[in-house]
Amino acid sequence: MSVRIIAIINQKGGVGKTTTTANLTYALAKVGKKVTVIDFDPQGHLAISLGLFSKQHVGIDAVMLGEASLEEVIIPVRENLQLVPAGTKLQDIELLNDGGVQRGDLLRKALSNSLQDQDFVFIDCPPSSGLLVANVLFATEEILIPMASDFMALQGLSHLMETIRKFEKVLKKTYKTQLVISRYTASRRLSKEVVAKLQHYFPKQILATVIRETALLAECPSFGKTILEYRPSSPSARDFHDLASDFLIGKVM
Amino acid sequence: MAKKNESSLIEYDPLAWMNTEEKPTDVVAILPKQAPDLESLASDALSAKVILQATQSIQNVMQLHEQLVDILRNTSDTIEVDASAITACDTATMQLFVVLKQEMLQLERNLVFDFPSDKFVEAADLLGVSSMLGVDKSAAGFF
Ligand SMILES: Nc1ncnc2c1ncn2[C@@H]1O[C@H](COP(=O)(O)OP(=O)(O)OP(=O)(O)O)[C@@H](O)[C@H]1O
Ligand SMILES: [Mg+2]
Repeated sequence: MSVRIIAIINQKGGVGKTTTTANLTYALAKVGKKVTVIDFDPQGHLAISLGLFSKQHVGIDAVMLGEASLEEVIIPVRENLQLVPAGTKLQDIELLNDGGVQRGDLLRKALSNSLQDQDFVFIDCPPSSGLLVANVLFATEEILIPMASDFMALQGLSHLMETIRKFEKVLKKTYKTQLVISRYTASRRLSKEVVAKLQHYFPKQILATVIRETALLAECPSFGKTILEYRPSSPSARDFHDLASDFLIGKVM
Repeated sequence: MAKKNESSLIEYDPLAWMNTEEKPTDVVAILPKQAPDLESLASDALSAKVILQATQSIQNVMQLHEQLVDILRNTSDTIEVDASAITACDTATMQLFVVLKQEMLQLERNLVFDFPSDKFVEAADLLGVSSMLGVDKSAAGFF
């Protein structure tokens, strides 16, 4: 069984990519899965969410540029959970200009034949659709899209699906694509309609548990803790616990 | 799922294209090409430029329409229209810009007019769309 690489992707900002990555991967690690997370956003929010408050200077950037090996930059952050930080040069890679198609293939090469002892590698993508995200789409077969439950999220998703289809065509592959409702405001009727719309276009592709919008979830990154550590008995901790189980058994809407 | 006649809170459906025919995708290089493009990609805003001929009328509006639709499809987030050369612009062309501007805003994209000539601003004013198109007099004064 080879390692599954999953991109947490959505070019729209603030939809819950990092929150989903941190909490879902921790929940998976907690049930014994071996998980590596890659902070692929130059902002470095994932590292912070997991408690690494000081800037990590070397990370996946150096591996992609051939300046370090993956093993050298991996940081164990919890039991069964290890982090590859972004590194300061990641934002330069976004702007790389020469190197032809190679420019898109740096991440895939950096990961190839590595992490074979892991069950999952999750990549927390930046909110853009430039070269970094292109690298992710070269490197993965599997995509998890966090979605907020508002109208503009649908618009953003349309844009994302266009990009994904384009890559599928050119790279001649079909991504296993799943969605997670990562910021669900139950009190709004629009939320239900948005989810219904998504079910229509993505039948059996939306993970069954929705992550509700809660104050606690917004609080925990500043403590460098996942919700399962910060408030283990909160509804949000349960949401992520359930989401992890949905993810493992493929329970969808 | 919401029934048709129930008042829906979602009027425009951005995903509608997914179940119909696929949006045309050129097998163009899927990687961004030049540095300026890359930089704008990083901030998620590709832009493309259109330069208008001196006279815009019903005779060439179809051609312009096709050109704009083509650009719209090819992933540009912002379309910049250079309107500096305009000496005459008819209603049909203005209407096209109004529809395009509305549509692009809905798609979270934008249509901007660079260096609008006096005649262009005048035509927009006449139809009461100059502020909607973002071509007010103050901007035009520079050129
Ligand atoms: N379900 C939720 N309930 C409450 N707050 C949330 C929830 N999901 C995310 N947030 C908060 O919203 C903000 C944006 O979330 P997050 O950073 O996970 O999004 P992102 O998609 O990774 O953003 P970016 O595009 O900037 O990388 C954060 O402050 C986060 O704490
Ligand atoms: Mg993030």
